[in-house]
Amino acid sequence: MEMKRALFAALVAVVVLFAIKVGYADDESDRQSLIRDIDGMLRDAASSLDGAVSDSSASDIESARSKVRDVRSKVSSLERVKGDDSLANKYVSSYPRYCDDFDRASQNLVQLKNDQRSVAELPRRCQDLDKQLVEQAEQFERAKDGTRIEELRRLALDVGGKAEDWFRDADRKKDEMQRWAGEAARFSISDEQWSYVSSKLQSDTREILDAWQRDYTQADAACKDLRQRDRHPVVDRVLRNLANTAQGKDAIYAKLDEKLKRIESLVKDVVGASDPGKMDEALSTMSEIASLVTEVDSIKGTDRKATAIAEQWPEYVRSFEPAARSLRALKVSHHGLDPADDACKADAVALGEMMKAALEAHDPDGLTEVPAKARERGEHYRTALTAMDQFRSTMTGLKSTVEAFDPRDERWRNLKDVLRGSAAAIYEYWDKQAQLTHSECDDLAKGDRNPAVERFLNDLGNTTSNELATYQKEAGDWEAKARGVYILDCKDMQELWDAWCSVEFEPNEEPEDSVVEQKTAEVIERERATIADLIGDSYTTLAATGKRLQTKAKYAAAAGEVLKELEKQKRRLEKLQDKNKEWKGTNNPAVAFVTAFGKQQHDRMNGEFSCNLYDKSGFPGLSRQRPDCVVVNGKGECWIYEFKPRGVNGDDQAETYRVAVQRYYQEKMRAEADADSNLGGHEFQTLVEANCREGRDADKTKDTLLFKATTKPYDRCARRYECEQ
Amino acid sequence: MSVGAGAFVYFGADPAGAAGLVEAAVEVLESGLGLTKLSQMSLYRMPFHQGKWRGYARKAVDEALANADVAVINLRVGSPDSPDMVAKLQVRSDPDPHRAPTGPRSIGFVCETRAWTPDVVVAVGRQLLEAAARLGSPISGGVFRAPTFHQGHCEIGDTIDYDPEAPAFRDRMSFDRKDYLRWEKARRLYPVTLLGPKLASQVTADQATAAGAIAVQEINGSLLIDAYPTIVETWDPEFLRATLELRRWLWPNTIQNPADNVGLGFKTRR
Repeated sequence: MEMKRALFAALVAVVVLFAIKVGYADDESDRQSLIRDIDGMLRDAASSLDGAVSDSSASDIESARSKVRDVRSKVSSLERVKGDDSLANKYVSSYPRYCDDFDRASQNLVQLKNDQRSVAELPRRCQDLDKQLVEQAEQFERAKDGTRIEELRRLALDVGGKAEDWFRDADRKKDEMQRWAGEAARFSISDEQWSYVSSKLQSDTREILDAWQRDYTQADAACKDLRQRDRHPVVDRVLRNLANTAQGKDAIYAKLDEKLKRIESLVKDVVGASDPGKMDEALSTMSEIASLVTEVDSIKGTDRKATAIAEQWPEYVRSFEPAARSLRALKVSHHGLDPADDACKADAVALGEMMKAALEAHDPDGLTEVPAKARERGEHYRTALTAMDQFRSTMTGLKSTVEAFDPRDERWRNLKDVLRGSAAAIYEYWDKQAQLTHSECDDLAKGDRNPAVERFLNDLGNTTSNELATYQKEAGDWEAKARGVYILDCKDMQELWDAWCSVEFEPNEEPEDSVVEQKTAEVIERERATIADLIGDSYTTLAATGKRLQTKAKYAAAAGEVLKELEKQKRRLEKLQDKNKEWKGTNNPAVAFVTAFGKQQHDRMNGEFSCNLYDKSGFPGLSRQRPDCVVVNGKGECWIYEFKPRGVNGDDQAETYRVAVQRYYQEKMRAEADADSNLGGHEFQTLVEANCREGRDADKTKDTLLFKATTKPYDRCARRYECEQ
Repeated sequence: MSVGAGAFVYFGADPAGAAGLVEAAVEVLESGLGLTKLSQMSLYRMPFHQGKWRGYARKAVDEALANADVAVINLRVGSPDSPDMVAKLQVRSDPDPHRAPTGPRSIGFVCETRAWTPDVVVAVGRQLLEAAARLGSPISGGVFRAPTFHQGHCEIGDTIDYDPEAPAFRDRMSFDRKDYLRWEKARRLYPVTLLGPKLASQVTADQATAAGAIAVQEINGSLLIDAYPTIVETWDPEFLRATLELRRWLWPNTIQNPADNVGLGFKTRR
């Protein structure tokens, strides 16, 4: 039994050893076989690539690619039996990448091969076209028919355009061919059999690209003349010869007229166009006119019309450019303001809704939030409106440049007119939009001074703030006292009169001369005690109250405004007290003086002109206004005088009075009534009807009166201001 | 010698109500006469406020135009005592029936021809008339010459201080001022005359040409008539001789001022 077991174990060991020995022998054989196959396939691939430039198609290249794909498959098999064989391991580690690289590179070679003859036909096609064009041109030349100029030019442009298209395609192909060749040539491997494959692929690439390049060079030469279009040497010569004929010149003139009309049409249409492109076309067409003018110059000879065009039109062409570019720029801004008024409307509505909500809720926060919003929008629109107003000068400048285009030639008159018309139309549209923008945005631009906001603050303030109202009243009283500092007594008046009349002033301007300033300072000095009280305790109390109210959210804005005003008045008073400067506007004692002194002058003028009615109020429509003087000086001499210092404009005011006065007495006349007693009564009505009627014999209930009105000037300093006793 | 020349247009409706009209008129004056900030302007606000003269600014004019209270825009170039140019733009009527104007609103200007050549004034005047025809509703208008600036000032109605002038001129101007006539008719034939659409509908351009007009241009229903090759006074003997037929043709559509009846023999009223 033990013996049997030992024999069996020995048998198993022999069988296992044998099996292992047989396995080693099979891998080695497979490995060698696979390596041989791979090398053979690579040799075949190189062979397939050989001389591809002469092939009629890319099939041999595709065959080589197929073989290399088989190599990839064999390498996969080799991997399974590579063992420790160094060569097999090298194949397995490197060849898959070589295969992939070759596949990509050879794909580009296939593209090169497929397009190798893509421009081969181009030289012949250009030669055929060129031949036809030359034959046609020479036929026209022999016929000396100047009317065919345009036909020949069009033909040359057409066929030249075709040749240009072909050549553009060829240029695009050239770029592609060079790119493909570059990609293919990047494949370069010197490893074993791959060196043959690389070498063949590179030589194929070079040869195919060279072959294509030769065709391209031939095409370039064959198409060159055609591509010059109407500058084709033969066409150019024939066009010159034909142009030299009378008909030829007429044809050029017709062309010039046609192009001018085209430009006129473009310039006219630019107003309604959505963009300024038409002006680009107009400029381009003008450059065609420039070329035609050059042509005219070359064939003008002694022809007067041609000479005139050659000499004058270049200047017109040159001066068109700035005008056209300005019109183009006007067009760019044509509709630039279109959205502006709508934006303002929308913001005004939004602000309105904000105010409405605050009012309905009696929300005191509205006193701060609404003005803040209004100020924010106001700042925005002030900036925008300022920019818009500043841009107006640009627009007028552009329009002026367009209007400066002023060719003297009758044939250019229409172009000049349409340029001006289009510029005016665009500018007027812009200007109208600017006005519209102002009308919609001006109130918003006032920020918290927007009348709607002021009304709102008033309304909301009334409902929310008694405390504020009391404070505002106290502050108002203080401010009235502060302003009272500037009211003058009679002595002040006389002193100021002497100062004022010792120097020359522009009429109706603020007296700012140093002599008056000095006198003003003296007057102010007398008010020092009053000022001291105002800017002392009174101000301190008011300011403290204001600051306390300011801490309450609902009073903060309004109290802040009051404090601002108080501070402003205080600063003014401080300046008066300290430096006697900045004494302007309604606070200026000299202005108060002018008012009082003017009254004296009026009284004197009344005496001079013997007014029937002097300084009388009560005419319907004039409210408390009083015409200075109504006087009847005789037949047809019925006057309303307005007394003003010399140089001050009062005619429009006088005219308003005239209309009301004339209407008053006319209505009384037609009603057969007397004037009111304070306006002359029966006596003056009778005087008026006797002297001021238009149709003296007509029925007075239908007749009209005619008054005249004018300003009567007086010299400011003819008489010294006198204090009344 | 001091000579005045200018132009005026009467309107059947407030110029401020015609989109772009006043702006165009100001643009014509600004670009044609070169108004600058050294020029002056004053505004008359309804109902009674006469503004001071101040520096001219286009923005201020635009603001005035947008202000419904502004009735008149006055423009001036030169010194107050001796201006080189004055213009009056009556842009709005007072809506109060007691103060509503008795005559039509007008836009006019007069220049001192030492400051601008007559050619410039005529060009600006023509542009004003063209703008009026294109954008407004004109009644009539004209480009004129006057022997003095003051007489030109009277011609545009900006002053009625006729006292310094001779009786013939005073009579002519007094008749011109009859408000009810100016609402309907042209004042007279001027070297360049504008007939608004209503007057133009009574006549034809061909009739004007047949009567001797040098040129007649139809603008938006108005007729712009070139009556004489240069601007001269309308009482210039050569003007009166050369325009005899044209004046005869236009006469029924004028206010029929007796001063313009020279050589025509029409019956007139004073």
